[in-house]
Amino acid sequence: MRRGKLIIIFIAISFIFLIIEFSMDRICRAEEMKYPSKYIELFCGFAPGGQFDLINRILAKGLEKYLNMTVVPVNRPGAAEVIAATVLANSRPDGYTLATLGDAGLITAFLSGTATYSKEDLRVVGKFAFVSNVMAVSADSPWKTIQEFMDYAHKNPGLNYAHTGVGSSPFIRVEYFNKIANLKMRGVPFKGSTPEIIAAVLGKHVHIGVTSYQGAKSQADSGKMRILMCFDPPGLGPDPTLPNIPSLFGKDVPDIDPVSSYLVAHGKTPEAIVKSLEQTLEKVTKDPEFISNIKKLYVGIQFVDGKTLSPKMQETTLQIKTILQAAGLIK
Amino acid sequence: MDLFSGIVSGFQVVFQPDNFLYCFIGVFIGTLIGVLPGIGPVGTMSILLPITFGMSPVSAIIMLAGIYYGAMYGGSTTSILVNIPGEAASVVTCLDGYQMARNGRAGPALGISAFGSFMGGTFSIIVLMFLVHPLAKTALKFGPPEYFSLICLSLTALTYLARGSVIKAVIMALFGLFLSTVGIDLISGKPRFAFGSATLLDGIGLVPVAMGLFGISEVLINIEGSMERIIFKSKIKNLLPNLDDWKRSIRPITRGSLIGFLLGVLPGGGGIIASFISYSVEKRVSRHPEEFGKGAIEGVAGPETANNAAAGGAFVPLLALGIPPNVVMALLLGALIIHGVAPGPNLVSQYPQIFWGTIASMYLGNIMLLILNLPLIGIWVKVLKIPYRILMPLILLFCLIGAYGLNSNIWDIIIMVIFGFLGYILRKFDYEEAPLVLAFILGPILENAFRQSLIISKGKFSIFLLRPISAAALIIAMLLFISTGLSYYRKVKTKIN
Repeated sequence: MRRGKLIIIFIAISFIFLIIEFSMDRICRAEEMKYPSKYIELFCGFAPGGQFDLINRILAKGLEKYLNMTVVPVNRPGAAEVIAATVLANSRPDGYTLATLGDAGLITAFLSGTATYSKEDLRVVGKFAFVSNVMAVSADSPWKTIQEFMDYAHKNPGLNYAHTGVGSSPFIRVEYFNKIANLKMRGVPFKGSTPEIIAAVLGKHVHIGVTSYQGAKSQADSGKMRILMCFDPPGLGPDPTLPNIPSLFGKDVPDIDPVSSYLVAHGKTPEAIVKSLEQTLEKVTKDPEFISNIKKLYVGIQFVDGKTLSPKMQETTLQIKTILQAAGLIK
Repeated sequence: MDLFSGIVSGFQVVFQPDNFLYCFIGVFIGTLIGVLPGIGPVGTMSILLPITFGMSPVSAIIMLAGIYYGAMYGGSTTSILVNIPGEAASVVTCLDGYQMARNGRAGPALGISAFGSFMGGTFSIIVLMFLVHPLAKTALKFGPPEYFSLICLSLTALTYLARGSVIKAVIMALFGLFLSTVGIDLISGKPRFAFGSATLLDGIGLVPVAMGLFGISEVLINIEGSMERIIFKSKIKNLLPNLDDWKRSIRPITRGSLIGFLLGVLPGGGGIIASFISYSVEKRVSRHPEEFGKGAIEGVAGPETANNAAAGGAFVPLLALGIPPNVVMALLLGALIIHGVAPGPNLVSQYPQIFWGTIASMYLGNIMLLILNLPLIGIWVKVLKIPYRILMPLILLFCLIGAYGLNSNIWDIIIMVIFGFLGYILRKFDYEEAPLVLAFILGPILENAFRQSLIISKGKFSIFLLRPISAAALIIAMLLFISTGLSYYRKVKTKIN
């Protein structure tokens, strides 16, 4: 008998909790209230501690300042941003779930067919940063400039370069370079991250590697590696003196966008909220604290609003598509 | 800055009240996390990362490093008590540690594990101080061919883990290798066996698999009710290892320290490989190998020392080269960057207080952990006295929470439960889970290293034998394989006769 009573009381209490929970939910569902009126989640498609994670966290801090609301960075690594993008696509289109995505989740996922969401599920609010990727060699290797390396590659086709994975954003940039310079380099994939690439280059297991600027710079400063070129748009990167695609090949060869970070919301987010986020994003990219934090990562800052981005992203999509086809990843 | 003044300054940094506190908080949280199955040091460190923003770089690193260390200590506790590895590097401790607990010797197992961890950790810090740079240089020489050969050696050593039939262990290992192919193939970028699922695109998660095979299956087996509880009810008198235990453990600890440190230095190596190579070595050199798998203390002392020594070794590439050898170190690297410190070869000269402060905090952390863990042994051992009808559901609950807590992905729970049932069936037929899990972890490294090597050598297999380190590892693996084969053959022959 006692046990029966306990069970009834337990069920009653749970029921009361559920009722409170649901009504709280409706109270918080703030259509009439101003945006934002509760905390926002900012998803990142990569593991904590990595470059994109740090970018996400710095953006969260920046947004917090201008939105006057807590922004929580959340990591959902996996499947090259597809998992994080899927979470976003399945979330409520109320502007309280946002994500930082790059072309991995926004472009490559669609091209290679791994996306579990459609283009309409995502709405790109704006671009706010780009990661400088560079090509670097070990300091005791014979090539002092990228031109010397390219000449050597022409004479000895089949050199090896280290990259972070077939279909990854750095891979696409290097393959683009490989193609337009006709270097016939062969890519050796290393799982996931800059440290492995650096180890491979320093250990002379490959001839050259593509890494983030930040990763290579610390090695370059101590004289262990030499940075030969970068993929930044002219004048915008952390080191404008490095040769890039336009400076090496001139205006006739189309440049490829560096690996960019975009703030993305759900596709059906109300227009007013998207506009408000766009304006906030622009303010954040001009904020001195944001700038100084991002600079610590040697990441470039560039704000491009949603409308201007559309044609640019289509162009990038085409470039990526060509590379993936050449690599045999898609038909 | 020479060694002596470096250490002194390091201790000065660490004994500042706030750093001291952070070190303690770090190791404490780390121990808790290590004990709880599921969430590991990486998850914890990433959750606590924002809190460190307000701290100075040294304090942040001290706390985060403490978490890492603590997790290594804590992970062995659940392995010994309930046969659930608190984290991947403790899988091997389950083998003999749990058997010791079943024999009423949980206390000595925990004690030796704590002492071994302390000695392994301290050893690695000392070597770290002196040999940072030369070791880092050697670590760089390990490229894909060397990794391939090293893993070949490890897989051959896997057969030594077998308690019973070697053939069954090999089958399990092959099954583990097969399971590890699920996911996006590194070399071609194409998904394999993903069946369109976003979860499987990344491969079957290690934590759900380990928790399922060890934890859930343990619960299922106990539900059958055929466990003899009498063993546990007997007075657990000796909480500490006795003299015989010490005598038997001293050599495994020494060997474990060495093995662990060296393997920890290698990028991608780490505690897991170190722990089970140590186990295999101990079983090989032991005068009573038949005890292994039934509660040989060497099987706890060696691996536990090794995985803590590996944790220390992992700092070598990070501090000397700015290259984090595993995910945890990568997180520390990220933390340093966010604090404006660019780790690289110049870390020691540019930020000596960070380098020496970290090293001193590692000493301090190890001592704190030893002091924390020893009295806790008495409490942990009481856990075994909880009646199974309460303990088992609790374990189940922790496993479920742990699996979901990883990525808030319901599929992790489903995978864990599937492997739980699989583990139950396997155990019924006397197949062991450890070779499966270990092969599962090593599989991707083996395959990727093999194919990377062939890309580099443009298809020539000779690359594996032309490079000295790789050739050495392969030859040892071959000898090991032959010797195992011969002894098996001899056994069969005598049986037939």
